[in-house]
Parts: sequence; structure tokens; C-alpha cells
Amino acid sequence: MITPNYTCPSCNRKYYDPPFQCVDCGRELGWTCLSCHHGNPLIYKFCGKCGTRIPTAIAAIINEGKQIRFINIPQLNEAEISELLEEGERLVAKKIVRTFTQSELDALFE
Amino acid sequence: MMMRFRQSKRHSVILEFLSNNIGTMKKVLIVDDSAYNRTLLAALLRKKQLTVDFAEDGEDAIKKFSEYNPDVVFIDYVMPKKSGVEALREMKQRNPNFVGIMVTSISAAEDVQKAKDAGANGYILKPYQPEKIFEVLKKFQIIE
Repeated sequence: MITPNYTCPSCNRKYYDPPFQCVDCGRELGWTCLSCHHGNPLIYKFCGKCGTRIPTAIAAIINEGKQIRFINIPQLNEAEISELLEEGERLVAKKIVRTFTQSELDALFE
Repeated sequence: MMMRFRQSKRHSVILEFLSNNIGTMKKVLIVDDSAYNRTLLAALLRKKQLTVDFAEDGEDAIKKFSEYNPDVVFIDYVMPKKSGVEALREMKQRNPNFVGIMVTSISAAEDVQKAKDAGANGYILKPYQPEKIFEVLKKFQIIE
């Protein structure tokens, strides 16, 4: 029997192959292409839109079975994300960008 | 006889609607390289009696903008030929009086700032709820 091997960190929905975005709560579970910004599911090794290879550092994290959700977390700032990352993951941290939630965007464009 | 009556009644209803609304119907330009996204958004906007036209990329958007002169432009960020932000900037330089709304899945601070600098009036993250679209349109008094 196959058991779901991935759990959404926000709503705990379980997946066999997690999509880019959780179908229940909308949280991003995959990785965002640094070249074209297209959102890709965790299992993709190449961007589904432009074909750019997933950066080596990120691929290494996938291979080690660590969760890639640390790449793009709207709720945390860079310092908070950095604390979560281990030494080997700091390479990825340099690529992390601050992202906005819809309510933050609404306030910005008020 | 009954059929003719029904048809003439339908025509009169349409004529009445057009005579009341012609010239006041707001025009919306939807710019997205995904046909699915364009169709989905158009269906929502037509429910609110808005007239809709489409563009598939940044260059097409600028061309359509000049011809169509829309009141609102919903524009995607990543598109072929010219990005949504570049297209929006050019459109705002030609006519700053329309409402430009970015509709995208990109939420990185740097990209959001670029959109704001280009003159975007609003920013909606995909996937969006229909209410979010209507909320923004109400904010800019495009619909009641």
C-alpha cells in the first residue's frame, strides 16, 4: 500500500506528489523558477515553463529529502528563514526573496 | 405569432438596455498569455456588464490599448515579447488615466515594487477569488 509521503505545513493535507500550491489552503509547496518566476511542483527538476534547471543547491536539498518550502515563505523575513536553514542551505537563502501576501499587497496599493 | 411577439419583446429589452447603457459601459482589456486565464476573467467581468477585449502578450497589449482605449487593464506579469510591467509602463506613459491591475502569481517584493513604479493601481495574486476582482473594481468605481 502506498502512503502519502508529503504533508502541507499549513493545513496538514497529505500528498503522494505535492502540487505547486496546496489545493486546500493555497500555500506554495513547490519551487519558483528564478528565471521566469513560474511555479513548479516539488518533483520537477526543470522549470515547466522555460526549462531552466532547478538550481544545484535546491536540487541537493530535494535529494536529501528536505522540504523545499523554505525557498519562498511569505510569512517570514530573510533573517527568520536564515535561522531555519542549515549551513548547507545558506546558498539557497541568498536566492530567497521577500514575498507579499494578498493583504500586504492591498495595503501597499491602498 | 407568439414567436414573433417573443422575439420583438427580446429585441426591445436589448434595445432598452443598450440605450440606457451605451456610452457608459466600461471597457476592460485583459492581457494574459494563457487563454484559460483570459476566458475565466472575461466570464467574471461580463457578469458585471463590462465590455472586454483581449491581448496575448505585452506588445499586443500596447497595440490594443491604443485602439480600444480601455478604462481598466488586467495584466499578467510574465508574458512573451514584453513583460506585463514594461507594457503597463508604456500604457501609463500614453494615458495615465486608466486603472492598471497586475494579476499574477509573482509576489516577490522586488517585482511588486517594479509594478508599483510602472504605475500599477492594484495587485491581485493568482489564484484569486472572484470577489477579489469585484472588490478592486468597486474600489475604483468601475462597478457598483
